[in-house]
Amino acid sequence: MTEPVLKVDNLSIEFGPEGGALRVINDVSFSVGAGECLGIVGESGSGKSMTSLAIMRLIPSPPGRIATGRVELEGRNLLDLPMSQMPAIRGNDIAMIFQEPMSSLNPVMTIGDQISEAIMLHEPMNAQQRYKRTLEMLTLVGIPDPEKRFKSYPHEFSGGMRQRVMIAMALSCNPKVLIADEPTTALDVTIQAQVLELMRDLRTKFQTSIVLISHDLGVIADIADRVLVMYCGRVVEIANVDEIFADPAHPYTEGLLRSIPSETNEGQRLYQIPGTVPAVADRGTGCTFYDRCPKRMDICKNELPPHFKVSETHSAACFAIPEASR
Amino acid sequence: MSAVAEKPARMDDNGLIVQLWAAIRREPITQFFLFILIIIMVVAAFADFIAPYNPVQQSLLRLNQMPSADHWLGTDHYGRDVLSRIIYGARNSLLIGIISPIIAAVVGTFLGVVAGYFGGWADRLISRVVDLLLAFPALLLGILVAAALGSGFWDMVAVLTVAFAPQFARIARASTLAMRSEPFVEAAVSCGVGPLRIIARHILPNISGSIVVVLTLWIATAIRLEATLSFLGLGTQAPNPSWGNIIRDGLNNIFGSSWPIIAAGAAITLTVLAFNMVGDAVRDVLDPETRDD
Repeated sequence: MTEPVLKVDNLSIEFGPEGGALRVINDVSFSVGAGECLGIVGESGSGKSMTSLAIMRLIPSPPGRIATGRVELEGRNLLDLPMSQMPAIRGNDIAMIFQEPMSSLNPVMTIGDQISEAIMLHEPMNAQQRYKRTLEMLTLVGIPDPEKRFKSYPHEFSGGMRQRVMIAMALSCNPKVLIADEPTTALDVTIQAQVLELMRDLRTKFQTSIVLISHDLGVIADIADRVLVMYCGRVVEIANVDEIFADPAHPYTEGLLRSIPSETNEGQRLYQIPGTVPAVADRGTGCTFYDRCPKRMDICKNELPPHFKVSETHSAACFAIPEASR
Repeated sequence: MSAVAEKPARMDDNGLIVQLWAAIRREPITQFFLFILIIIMVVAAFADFIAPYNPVQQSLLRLNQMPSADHWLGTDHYGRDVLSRIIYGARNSLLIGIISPIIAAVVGTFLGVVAGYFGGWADRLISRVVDLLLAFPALLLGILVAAALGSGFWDMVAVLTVAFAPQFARIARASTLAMRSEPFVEAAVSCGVGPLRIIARHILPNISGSIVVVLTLWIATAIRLEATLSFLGLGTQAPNPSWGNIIRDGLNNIFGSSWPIIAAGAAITLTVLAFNMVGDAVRDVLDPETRDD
């Protein structure tokens, strides 16, 4: 892999007062290369969105705080920059799409004005060039009749169209990294397919790196190159997408995959991982998955498993991985 | 999807005024009250040309007259023409009643948005001062400030501004807090929009609807409060007429002639009602989701 565009190193995030703070994100590390799509999966509360907000430095603070780690964009640590420089990076270098297209657009601004605003902030263009660029972006994301749609308000658009407008806004300044936080969760499957197709296109066309956050493994399988599995604020497994689906190494990933409804288990009761995610305050010193793990051993209770390499591109944090394959 | 896509974009290049006019044209009742409001304002502005008599000109020969062709609303116990006093009174009542809530809205909204958006010590400081001012009823606060400042025109404006600004600050702060956590504000922040622009383009336009509605309601209240203070002798001072002190004068002479009280009371009621009705129409236009086009 070439030099990564985005590199996150040992990121930890704490919430609460100094001393009594709770760590919601613990030692998360990953990197994304140019044109690569990294999928982040995990159930609700596993820290997927928190990680993406930390990259943009949008963690509400107080009470949140980035405790340790680095977020490097092309070698520059974003966490070292003064907060006043972040607006220049947001939208320009790293853009974000949120999971609620219905409310992610300002209801009293026209679609065109909102896209132009993003362009105006980062590109030295006059009003006419901005207008042209906005029309291009609308066409790019497949909004028919862009001249007319420029002057429409968000409430005149359907959910899928609003999500396309969000994508147009996010891409209007050619960001190096696009963070998509469950971009298709609120959409029906046909629109979902169109939006994913669009993202795939953009990736090949502009070499944009994508961080796709989802709890839908189908979406991940569809578009991601590599997958990061998060549980309780930790990375439990990271691998290429085919390795994850063919040969999951962590019992949590296995559980997730077994919970997908498919034709082979039709008619049977759908598998579910027993128990629930432990509360942040209840996490002991051992493996966070201990209570729910089918493969648990004595060592897991009090000792945190380190990441073991299963292959060059595949690693997982589990003691149950046989010595031979480490 | 196609049904939505086919729907023609309705919002043309129309400015706010054009839209407002279109909305008003559909509502005969709003039209009627807007018409009344315009008449009241024109009359107040051109009082010098419209009023048939000098409002402070007394005449012992014409005390307590009933309405007649010469004096449409009769005369009071100094023989002054009631219609002329109502017309000149409109000028004082309206100027104070409109200017002070507008100043209060600007000051209060600014404070409220700053408190709501930035939080921290700015929020604590502003909120405590607002709480302190809100603890006093507007009338009591008005009396206190009027006693301290006096009762000139700008003193009255200052009185009402101090009384009303906390209301705007509270509403602006609450709306800003709600807006700040809206996904579209988060989305704008993630696009690199800075705090000042977030406030100006994304928060203010979205809270302006509630501010304007509250403003029109407080214009009505300001007219009443000015009338109340003048009635209590703290507002516009005799012999200058305002609707409040016309009632005050009239009350002392209620058995001589009840026309001053009736006329001034009707003027206050009509003006307050008209501002409320037009305020509703303005709110409907400012909020695109209630705009029925």
